[in-house]
Amino acid sequence: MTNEQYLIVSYFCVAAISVVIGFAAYLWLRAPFYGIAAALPWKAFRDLLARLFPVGILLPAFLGFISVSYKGCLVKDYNQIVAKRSYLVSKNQEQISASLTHVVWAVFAWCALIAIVMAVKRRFDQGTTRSPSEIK
Amino acid sequence: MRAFLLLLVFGAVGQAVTASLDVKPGQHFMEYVWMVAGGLGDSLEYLFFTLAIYLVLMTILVAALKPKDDK
Repeated sequence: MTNEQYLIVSYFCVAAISVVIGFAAYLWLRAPFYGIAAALPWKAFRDLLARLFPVGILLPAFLGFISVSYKGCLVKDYNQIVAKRSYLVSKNQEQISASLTHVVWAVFAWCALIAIVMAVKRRFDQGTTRSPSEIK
Repeated sequence: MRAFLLLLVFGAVGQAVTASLDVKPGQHFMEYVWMVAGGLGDSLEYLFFTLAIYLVLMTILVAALKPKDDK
């Protein structure tokens, strides 16, 4: 296999792997996330979270892959890129790493959002369960 | 919601269209792929940040207004 063939095959394979990474993270977190979302009292907001969650995990995984450029600071020409197999392999590793890092940040962002929403819900529950005499 | 969808679609298409496609004859297949990926990346980035801002706005609204329980 020539370096050019390797570049084409590896590029699309890593693209598929990054989508699989995002999908695996979504599948892994789906059940607990929807469990938490189902506990929220606001239906419209619950539906919004449920709809955006898969997008919010899959998109960062693919964005991480796409954010890696083969044209770095030193290597700019296509022939220079294809010349070294080790360079191509390092770029593939970088793509997978970027994909994983983006998923990690996306999960952090979702966790922060869920934490805020749960805090709001707790205050909301305390407000609704309080008796009228307590409010006075 | 319709205004938000319009914002998403128009913004993403706008990002994709403005991406510079400097196509030269005799370029290799992967150079075309990288060009398309660059445009796609810009569009997806725009989509992602718009969705994130929308979600943050909705969360702030829910936190601030605390709408009634509508189970």
